[in-house]
Amino acid sequence: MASPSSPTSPASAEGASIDASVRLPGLYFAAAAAVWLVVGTALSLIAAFKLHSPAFLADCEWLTYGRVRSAESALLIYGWGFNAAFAMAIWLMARLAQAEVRRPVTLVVAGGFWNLGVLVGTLGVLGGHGTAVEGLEFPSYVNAILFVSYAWIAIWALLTFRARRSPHVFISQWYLLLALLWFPWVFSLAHLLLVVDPVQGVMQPLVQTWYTHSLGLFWFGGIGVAALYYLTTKLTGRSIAHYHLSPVGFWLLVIFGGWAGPARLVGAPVPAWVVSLSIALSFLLLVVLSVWACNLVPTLSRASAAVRQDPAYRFIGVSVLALLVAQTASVLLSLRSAAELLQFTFVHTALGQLTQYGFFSMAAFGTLYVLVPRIAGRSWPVPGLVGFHFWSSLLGCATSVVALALAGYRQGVGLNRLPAGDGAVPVPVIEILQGLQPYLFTHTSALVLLAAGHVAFLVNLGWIASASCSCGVPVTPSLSNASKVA
Amino acid sequence: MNRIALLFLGLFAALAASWTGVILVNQGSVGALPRVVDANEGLAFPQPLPGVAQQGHLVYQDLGCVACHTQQVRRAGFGIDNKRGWGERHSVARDYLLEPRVLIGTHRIGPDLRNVGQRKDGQEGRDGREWHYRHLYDPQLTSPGSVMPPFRFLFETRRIVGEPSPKAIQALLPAWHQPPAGHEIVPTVRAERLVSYLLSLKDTYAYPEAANVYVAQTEGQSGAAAEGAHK
Amino acid sequence: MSSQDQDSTRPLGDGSDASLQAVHADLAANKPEPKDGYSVLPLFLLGLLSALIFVGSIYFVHYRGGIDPLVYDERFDPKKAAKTATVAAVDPIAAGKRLYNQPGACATCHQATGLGVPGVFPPLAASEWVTGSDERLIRLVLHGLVGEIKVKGNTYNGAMPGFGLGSGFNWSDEKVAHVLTYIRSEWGNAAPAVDVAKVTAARTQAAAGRTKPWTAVELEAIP
Repeated sequence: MASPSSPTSPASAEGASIDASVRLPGLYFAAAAAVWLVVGTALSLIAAFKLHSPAFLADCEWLTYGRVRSAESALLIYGWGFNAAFAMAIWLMARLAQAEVRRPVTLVVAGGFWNLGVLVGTLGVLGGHGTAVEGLEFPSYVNAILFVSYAWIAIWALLTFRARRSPHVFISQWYLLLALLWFPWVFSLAHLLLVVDPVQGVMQPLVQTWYTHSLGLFWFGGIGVAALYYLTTKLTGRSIAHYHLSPVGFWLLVIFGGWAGPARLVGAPVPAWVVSLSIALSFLLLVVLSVWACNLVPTLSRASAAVRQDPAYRFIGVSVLALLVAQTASVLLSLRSAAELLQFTFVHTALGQLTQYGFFSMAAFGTLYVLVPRIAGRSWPVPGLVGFHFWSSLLGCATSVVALALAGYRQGVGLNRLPAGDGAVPVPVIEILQGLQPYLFTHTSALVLLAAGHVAFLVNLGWIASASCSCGVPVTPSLSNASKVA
Repeated sequence: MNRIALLFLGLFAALAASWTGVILVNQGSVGALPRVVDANEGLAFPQPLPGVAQQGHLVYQDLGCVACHTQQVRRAGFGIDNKRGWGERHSVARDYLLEPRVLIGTHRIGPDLRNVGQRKDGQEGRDGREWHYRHLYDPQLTSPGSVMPPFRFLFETRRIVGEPSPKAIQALLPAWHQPPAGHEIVPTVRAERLVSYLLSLKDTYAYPEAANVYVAQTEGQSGAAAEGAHK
Repeated sequence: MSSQDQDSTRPLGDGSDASLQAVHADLAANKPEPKDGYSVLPLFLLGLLSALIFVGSIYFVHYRGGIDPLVYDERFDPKKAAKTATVAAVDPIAAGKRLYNQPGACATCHQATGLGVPGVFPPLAASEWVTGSDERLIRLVLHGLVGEIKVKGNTYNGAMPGFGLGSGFNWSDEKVAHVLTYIRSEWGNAAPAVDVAKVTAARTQAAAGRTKPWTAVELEAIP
């Protein structure tokens, strides 16, 4: 376990000035992320509720199921996910480069434009201007502002990297660079080819899966895995096990990850060979997973009993587990025999929940619980809420994933299998959905639990941020009770 | 691990490779697929949708119908789409050539809609349009137990001024949906467009590639079976 | 904890980011010394990678669908079933009927009924010119006709334009063959179909270079 930092040691003094330089943008992005998370969860709840009570809010066009679902998914990606990722990326970059972020106010300005874009985009989707393209739901007029503010933020992170004082580069920095450099390409290409000048016919689903898969694997995956590597070694105070293998995993991911998107299109009217190639190459991601597993799991298992009590450690542990399970499941689900049964069902909703929530959001929570007290210079005001947040996230996420997966399995059997017996006719879709009601209701209850945890997180964060902003002078971050990390 | 220039180069090479393999190669083949000119009918397929249906496609897009409905029919033997009456044949790439936004969908909370215009859903033997109006106004009327939300905001309840509108639909609705006396319920322009779009959804033309399905190889039989699939 | 586990991680020194960087840089630069059982992991990963590449290649080759953009069934092999994937053959009668009824074409004078207009335009139904020699009929439609012509006992005097390549209509040989096949099988006519090759032969060989319309007398000289 790491020795508690002493305020007088030069390393931690340097760390303090770095953390102080991240204070403004870090708190800004964390707070924005938490607000969007709560709003997004509220929209998720509305959508989930409508699945068993379709008459709920039905006369409000802005809140019809299709629009709420689009808005919710876009908000959780671009509102919660990106703001959290920005906070993580900037802090990790500054920490690992051992360099201060210069002129941090500009990041807040760029972030302001980003969040303006997210707000306008969400309202646009609810108002009927959405594109209906999965992963790019926001109206086309929003994407330009998102791109420019993203570029600004990413360039700031890259400049911090360039100004690094550390002579060495840690694997987390590789993953951060991967995320920061890959996203603008896929985002702008997808925007051009799907929204501005749409490609012909089924090229659109191909581009769309290529984009969403890259977004998940390289942007959220890159930032999330970077945080996992950093916090794993940081929290346990041990080096990454089998560290010399980590570049192998990185390069295999980079080389083969971009091909695996169209595997989602099994059975769709796209050329069969594209899907087959994509499935075949996605097998290789299992090697990447093995590398992650043998890097992270043994290191995490070396944590002392005290560290195991730390909420950040717990979030990170859950995140690693979810990452391994979700990526394995996504390879298995793209196999044709699985896709025949489970394509188009809630199993894929469950997988998305496991990836976006179980892996990325958990990694983000873990990072923010370490990051925020350090940059704010004070500890969490209500430590009890931190524990509550962890357990509500864990239980909520697990319940929702299991309920959706079971629902999806039953849905798949109903949709794609004839009942036994001669002359059997397919089960009507309405009956299948009625059979799923208990699971969908469980999912809604799980979302209520998640929402409660998110509100707890927002309260704690808002409290610490307002206290930090009103008192101004950062205190040396040695008092955190969330975790004792230099 | 410190050779950052190499790292950047590697990243861009990998990005370019996946871009080329997944997008560019296909852009040259499926992305450049021409329409099929049928000399017998003197027409090129797929045929463009009527203008009102194209406007309905925008309504379909803005209401987020794609959240619950796919528009792709899977081949016989891969799922049971054909046995559900979701289409005479599986969908092929050419079916989507003229669509400005291809919404093949990823969730089947409701049925597939690729051929909904061809389905004999118009119970009571009426024009399918009236069935769709009832279904949109209150899905429980036509599909009891459905989780589809009602779309009453696509209809307007208004006072009858002068002659009643020929488009009024309250005669199709049960007693509990009747408007106050002297009022009528008419579909808005968006409802009309949406229903026109839904009624236009049918992939009936037998493209040659629709016959490209695997047939278990038993000698002498394969050709005939493939011919059968062609129809 | 086994001794192997003990070896797999190292303490981070004072726990600062600088020592984190330094420890990992050292780990990356200096591969762990091959102690007993230590090199199992890279070997395992290499084995897994090779196995997955192998399985993936077999999967792709098996399900490549001919690497053809028009194949959506991964088990389909276009080479084994090349014949079925042809474009539907043109039905000459349907195509001919459409040409016949095109605005400004045949039906303008000979009418959709094929009966013509008595005294002005000769009929096609049961006409000996239509059901008789196809060589005459091909030339007549390719280049047109002027002057008197006797059809079903009545004499007509008019002018018919040419339809073949180079004429105002510029119909291809296929189109000419289609329309002739149509009129020879419609309205009770039952003459054999006209072959595209015959039209091409007449246009490029027997009557090559001809631009002016035929007369009935000229045509009757042809078998």
